[in-house]
Amino acid sequence: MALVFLCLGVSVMAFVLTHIVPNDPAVANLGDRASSDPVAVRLYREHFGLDKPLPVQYVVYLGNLLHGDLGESEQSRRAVRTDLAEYIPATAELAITSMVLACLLGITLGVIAALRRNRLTDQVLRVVSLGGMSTPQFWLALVALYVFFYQLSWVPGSGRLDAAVLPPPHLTGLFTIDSLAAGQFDVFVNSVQHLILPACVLAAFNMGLFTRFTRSAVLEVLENDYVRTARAKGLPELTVVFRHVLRAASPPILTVVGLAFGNVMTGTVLVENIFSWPGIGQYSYRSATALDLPAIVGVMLFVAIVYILVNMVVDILYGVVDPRIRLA
Amino acid sequence: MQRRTTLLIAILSGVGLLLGAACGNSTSPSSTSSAAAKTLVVDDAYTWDFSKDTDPSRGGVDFDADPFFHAIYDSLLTFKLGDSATPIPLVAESYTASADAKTFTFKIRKDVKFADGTALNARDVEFTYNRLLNLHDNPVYLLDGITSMKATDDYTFVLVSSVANPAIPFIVTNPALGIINSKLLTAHGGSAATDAAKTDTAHDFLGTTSVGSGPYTMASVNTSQVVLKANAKYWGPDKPNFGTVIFRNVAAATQLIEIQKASNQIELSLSGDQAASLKGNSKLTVTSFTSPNITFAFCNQKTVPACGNVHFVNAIRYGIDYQSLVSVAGAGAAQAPGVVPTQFLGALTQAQAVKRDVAKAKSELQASGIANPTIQLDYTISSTGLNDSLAAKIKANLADVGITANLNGQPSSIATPNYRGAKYQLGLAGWAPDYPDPNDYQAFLPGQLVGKRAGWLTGAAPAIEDLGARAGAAADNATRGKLYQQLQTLLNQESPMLPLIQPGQSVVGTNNLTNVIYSPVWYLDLAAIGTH
Repeated sequence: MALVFLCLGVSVMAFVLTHIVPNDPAVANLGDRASSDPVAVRLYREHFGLDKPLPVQYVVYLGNLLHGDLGESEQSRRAVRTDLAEYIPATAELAITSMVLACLLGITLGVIAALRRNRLTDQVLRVVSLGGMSTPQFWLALVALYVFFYQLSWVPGSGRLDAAVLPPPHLTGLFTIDSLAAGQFDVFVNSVQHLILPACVLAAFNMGLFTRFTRSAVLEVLENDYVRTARAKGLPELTVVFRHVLRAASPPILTVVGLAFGNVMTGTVLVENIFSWPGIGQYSYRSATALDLPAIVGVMLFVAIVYILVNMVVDILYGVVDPRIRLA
Repeated sequence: MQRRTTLLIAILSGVGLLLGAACGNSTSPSSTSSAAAKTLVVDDAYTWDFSKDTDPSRGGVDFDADPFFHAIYDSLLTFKLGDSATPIPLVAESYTASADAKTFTFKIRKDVKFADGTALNARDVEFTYNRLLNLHDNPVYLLDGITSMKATDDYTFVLVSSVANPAIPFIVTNPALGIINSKLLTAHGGSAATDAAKTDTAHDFLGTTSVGSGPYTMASVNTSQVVLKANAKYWGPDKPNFGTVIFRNVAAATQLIEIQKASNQIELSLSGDQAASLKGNSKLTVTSFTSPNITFAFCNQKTVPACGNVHFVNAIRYGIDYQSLVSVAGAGAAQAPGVVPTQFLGALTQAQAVKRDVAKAKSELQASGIANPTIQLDYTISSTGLNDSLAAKIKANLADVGITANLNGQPSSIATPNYRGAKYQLGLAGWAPDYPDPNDYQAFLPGQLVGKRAGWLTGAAPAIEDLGARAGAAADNATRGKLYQQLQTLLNQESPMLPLIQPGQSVVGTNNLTNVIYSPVWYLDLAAIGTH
């Protein structure tokens, strides 16, 4: 039910905000000459229903939405649903990989920093994490491309695959999974090679964020008597850290990971641009600049749904990692 | 302590192994398979969405898409590589124009075949032209004034214009008028009927299949690239050199890095400075040239009444330091001596261009009777920063004369409707040629497209309008050229239009490539590009 109300709210907001902008979608999308041609403008408005009053446009949109129809993009002239289905997997593949990297590195380094509190390791990790958080992504992307592609040749250039490599048969839209499903191991390797650099760039900020959060949360738990007791009982350090410390420190870390995942799914536009990654970031940017209302609303609904689902998963995980929350 | 050290080593080893697995098998990006060796890659930071229009009748006037359409669809006439002054036969083996330049008869070749093997005839040409007209999408202006488009027999196509239009042979070279396989498209929802705007449903089909007779066919298209394959049934004498052409959407900053490790690759979006930084690279060929695009300013009489005062406009005209504008517009940039680019018939020479004369500007301002004028300089904030630099220079230039210009740069989504809606004051805008003929620049006259944006309406300048009408209708090129020169001289004296510069433009390719030659009509002829 919350999802329904949220979607309604998002669609109203998108409609209102888009119409506040002093612009005309017909002028924004038609060419220089055609936008001055009354017939072309009239046909355009009729085609996209822009000739109807705004409330009528909204009611029609809602009616279509109930049937799963997000409308037709004014830019691509395809169903928004089709566009989203093409763009979302590219971003999802990038976002998931970057989040896995950010979690692995960020949480690990956060634990180390906490265990080595105020020592050299901690100081170094503080610089690394703050560096990751404060470096502009577009700059980091260009430097990473220059160093790891141009200078070192460790990774290929932009795009999801080499120019000469054909995408695998469509199954999920995630090339790594689709290539494995099709038994195309060479395509899988190629897609992983293309994925790693943008994923690392995208992970840099979150890695820093998770390091700081994890350090703080772990330090708080390390002060507890039961940790001291566990060590006094002679439990191996790994057991103490993972079973007693990290688990207890998990709820705040999960919260920030959930929020970060939502951000990554929707905030990849600069990285996608530098790495020619055809994802939802580029799509939303183009839609916004062209005042492509159906696409804008489609993207906003998608973002809302992502945040709701992520919050739902985080809530479930709270209960998994902390039985007190489950019981409450 | 030992346990903690072990823990640290274990964790770092795990992370290292993970990253190693991801990168460890990476091959050099410059390594190419045998298939890739026959592949040409062209990068462009295009704003056009390849999923949008693979239909020449809708997207064929988008400059970013023109190399793609030109490679797939043959037009009636074409230009020799490197030329845009003399249309030559392609699908039409010959053409004749009536003495009044209103009727054009094209004789169609009998050996032209579409990629599916179907023979092309005049009915396909008729279908193509009528469909473009009736879809009423972006390229429809190409057929302005055309009253009849008919195939009089299987191999004769006749175009009739309501007014004399000697530019028709130039217009029909446009990629938007590439000939479509009418049978194939009709079978998949295509329509050329008068209600085609509402009944044509060929969009999805054209998103997967190309229906032309050109040297390439579309193999696949997605949001980031389009892949062309050589047309195995191409009818023309010159087969394409590359088996595959991949046209990719890549940001300019990324192009700058990737071209340095590439082979068989061309970058189209590098700025003058970026291209200049590659000039020392022996593996690359950097070509910088003067763009046929015009950057111009205009004083809008609709929003600023003073713009109707010719002395005030002349104060601006002579106050601008054109050479300083050229200096920030990249390698190859030049002053625009008139609204018609220097490459086209009827262009003024650099000697005829307006020169800065501050004393004259000040006396014109005094003659205008306007004291301490202030005007808003409106422009689009460009991704390259060029407009911002030009606007800042103009502001400083005008301050020397005693005119205060307040800069008002806006993002394109806001600026474009303001410009098109004649809301600018002193506007800074650009014009790219729709076809390489001076008739395209009739748009700058009173009551025409750009004229109206400057509040310069029909009847505002009868002498200029009369001269424009005669220049546009003259059948003889020599006469047309002279009339257009006279017209532009008048525009430079009496109009609110202020031609500023033709920016520099660069194409960078790997040096093993040949025939990477810029065209103002279709940017690059992909089929002509070969290797040493």
